Amino acid sequence: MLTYIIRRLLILPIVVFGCIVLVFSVMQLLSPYQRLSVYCSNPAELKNVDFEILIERYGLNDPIYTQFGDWFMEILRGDLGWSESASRPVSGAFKRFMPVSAELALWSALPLILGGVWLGSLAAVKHNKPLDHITRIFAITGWSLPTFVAGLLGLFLFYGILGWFPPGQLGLAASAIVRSSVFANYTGIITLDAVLNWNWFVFADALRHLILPVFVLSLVSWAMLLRVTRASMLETLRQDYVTTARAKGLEERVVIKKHARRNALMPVVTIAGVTVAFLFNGLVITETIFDFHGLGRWAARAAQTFDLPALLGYLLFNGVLIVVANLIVDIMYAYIDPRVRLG
Amino acid sequence: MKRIWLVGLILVFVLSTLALGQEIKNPDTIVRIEYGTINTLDPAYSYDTSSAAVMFNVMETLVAWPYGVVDANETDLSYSLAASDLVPMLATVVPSVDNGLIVEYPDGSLTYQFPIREGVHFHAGGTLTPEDVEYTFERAILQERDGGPVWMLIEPFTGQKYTRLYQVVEDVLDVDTNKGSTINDLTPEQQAQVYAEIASWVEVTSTGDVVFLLDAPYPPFITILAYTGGFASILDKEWVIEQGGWDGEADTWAAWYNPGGGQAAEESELYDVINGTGPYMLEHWDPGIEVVYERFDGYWREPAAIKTVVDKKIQEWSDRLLLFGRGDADICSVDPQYLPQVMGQPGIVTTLNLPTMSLNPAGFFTADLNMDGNDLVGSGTWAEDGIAPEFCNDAHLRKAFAYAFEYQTYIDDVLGVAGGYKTHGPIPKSFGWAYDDRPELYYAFDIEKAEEEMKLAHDGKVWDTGFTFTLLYNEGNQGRRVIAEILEKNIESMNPKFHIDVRGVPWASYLDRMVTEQMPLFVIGWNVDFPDPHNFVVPFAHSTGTFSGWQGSTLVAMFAEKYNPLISAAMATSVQAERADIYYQIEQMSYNDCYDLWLPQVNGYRVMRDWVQGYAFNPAFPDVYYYSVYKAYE
Repeated sequence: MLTYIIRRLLILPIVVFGCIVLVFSVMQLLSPYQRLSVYCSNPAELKNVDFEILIERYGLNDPIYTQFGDWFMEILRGDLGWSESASRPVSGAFKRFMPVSAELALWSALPLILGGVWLGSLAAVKHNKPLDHITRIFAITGWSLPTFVAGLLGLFLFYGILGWFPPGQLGLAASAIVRSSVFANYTGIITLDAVLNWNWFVFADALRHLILPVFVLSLVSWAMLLRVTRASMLETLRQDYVTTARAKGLEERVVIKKHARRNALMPVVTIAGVTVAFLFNGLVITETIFDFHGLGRWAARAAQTFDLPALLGYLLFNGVLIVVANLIVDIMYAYIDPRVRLG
Repeated sequence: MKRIWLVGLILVFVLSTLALGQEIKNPDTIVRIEYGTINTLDPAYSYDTSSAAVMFNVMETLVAWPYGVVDANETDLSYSLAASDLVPMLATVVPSVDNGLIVEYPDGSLTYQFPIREGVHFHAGGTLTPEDVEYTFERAILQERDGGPVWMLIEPFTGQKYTRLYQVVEDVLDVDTNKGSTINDLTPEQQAQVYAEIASWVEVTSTGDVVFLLDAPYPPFITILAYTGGFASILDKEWVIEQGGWDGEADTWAAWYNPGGGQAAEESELYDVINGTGPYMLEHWDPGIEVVYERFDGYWREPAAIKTVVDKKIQEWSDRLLLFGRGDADICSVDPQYLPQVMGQPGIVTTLNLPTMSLNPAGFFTADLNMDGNDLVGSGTWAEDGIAPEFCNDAHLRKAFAYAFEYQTYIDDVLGVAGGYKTHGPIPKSFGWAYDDRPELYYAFDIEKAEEEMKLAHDGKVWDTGFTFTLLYNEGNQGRRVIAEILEKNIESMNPKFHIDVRGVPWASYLDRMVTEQMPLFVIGWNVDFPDPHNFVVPFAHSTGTFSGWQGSTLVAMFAEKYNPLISAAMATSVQAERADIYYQIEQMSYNDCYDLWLPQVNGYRVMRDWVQGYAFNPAFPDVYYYSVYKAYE
């Protein structure tokens, strides 16, 4: 197992490097003037700009391998460059935006597990009963409802009309506390920091702002997991070994929990890696709609403005995330099914 | 499309069902929601409206513009844009010839003398001195950057000879700096030589006044000192040095020249710190997310009424609409197309038809197209499937385009409820004294005249052969898309041999095509730097202008021959009537030469909650001046 993990970790930089080379090459298809545009978005500034000098200064006409080499050396020195779209260094942008996205993603895990796995298996157990029908309807609705529609409708209903869940991360008062010297920002994850600061006002305010985006962000993945879990559980419940377990007189609770659910989780774990990717893709829309300044929103803006350092940095991050997620999935396989041997 | 429906649904529901009471939310805080990006807090570097907004509230200039009020209860447009009406701020008196503080010498040079206010404190604790004022301007000039705003200082100080510091350096030292690339390599002695020249422009007198010396008249000079966008905002010298800024020595400045090559704002030592004498202190700037100001209780005038200002950057319109609709924001940025969604809604006040000072958009014809790798010009020859490089060289052709544009349709359909007005040359209508409002100077939609002109273009060759070219707009800019589509429709209706393809491209590609002179017609805009016609005739009609310089050698030569002398002449006199006559001439010539497509301009407007009071108004202001704002029902 350990050898397997080490081998996968060693492959990680190669995979990420391949992705970066690909994107870097695609970006080089743009002319030097086009790549300069990120620095020249204000027409007034065009008055005293000599484009040829800028192209020379930034080495935009150098051979691709030279430009890539220069950039890669900067990375090795720990400098990912400056993100114009974030008005800060790429590393600073990650530091600022990562906790926001992490908070959304972590809180989204809760409905995923509860709603997806638990409800999915429950629906299978209660096959063709009202609970099963209701969860199926929810799943189909969640699966077919585009994120931006769900987000806007949610905002309209729960903030516009009811005034419960406003957009943004915090209200004015809580925001002032978080900015003040009495509040220590340990992690940047506001709910966690609020607990560590023992500040329940900030915690409650942050939670209030998280409810809608977390619901919307997890909706699609939640629906997908629910359907997969239900289907897998139904199939497992029809297996001979489940019938045998029942015939042996085991309690239904034990049959479900120990014999059926564990085996039914295999396909669920398979799609867990995809679910992580789904979650982070969903951040782009969710963060934009709910005014959360996280990685997804930053990536979208970077793409719109040809912010190459930001895009490459984000790609680096995404590559690592997906590879690590898949590694975790593989390890979980081995844990759930001892027949699976890694290595 | 779905999204528009949803936003519309949200709007109708929220705004029609919300009946907010008379309770003022967050009475000691102003929350403003908008989407501008602040690039820097360094006043010498700043050249964008969002950065200017911070300096405008945190720092102060020697003199300032008087303002009217456009708030929830009144529309008082008693502002002024006349230099004679400027009011003192960190200076105690506004210099004039009458009070003897502007002195004109027989050789044409002038001095402007400013007595400096005493007892004014900076937020970080320092006290304002005349040396701070001198340092502020010297630093701005010596740190001049590529694409920066400091040309506004260099031009008047050098009698319009130069706009860049490297030109001054080359003049003083008689060396080639490769457009400033080698300035960082100047020896201490060379730096001292250059500094001696710059220092002679701004001096502190023995009586503690600050004197500016101009080689030649530059009528708008004093208005440049009221520039709220940055470089004229006064810094605390000691504080800047503490931050790692220029130490004020004559032979060291080159190390601070052109920070980040002009395209990396973060390399300036004042990128993210600010210290001024203004009514608000910067409490917090989270780039792209929010700016928070706190009232400065040690302010030299009465402290501001509002304690805290939160300026939230929210890109998504639906969020802005909901927050504003529920009263969680006091002032909201609303794009023209969304105005109908807020107008007349309970608790929201919209004021329309306010003056503006910009020419945005305007269309620019490119004569002598660059055909190298240019896929916008079809075959690139005189044929129905392309255009030749000299296609736009002919005034008849340009006039045909001007007559083929539906100005009123654009105002009605694009500018919508905000409304707009027609314009006819490089001077905005709000410069009443310099704007020649004769009806015959306006092009109007007239397809028959357009045909006549097209038949005359290039001696009939255009009409006989036809043409094909691509008209670009930058994606996301719906106004520019409609402009292109109106021209496409009407030009193609004249002759079956005329073909225009309209295509949206990212801003990056648009900029690329513009600066490489590949677009037969490009649309872009200019917003005011300082309120004087000179600030508009140069970018539009001078041979070295920001945009006119990209219109191809034929038009550039025409500008040099016919327009440059007039533009210079208008700056050689301080007599307003004489200047106005010259600008009238330029407007007449602009009509005749039709080198640009003069497009309708949107009216100014404001949207705020009904408890917002004292909201200052002057079209020269870059943004909200929070000092005068308070919240109350009146």
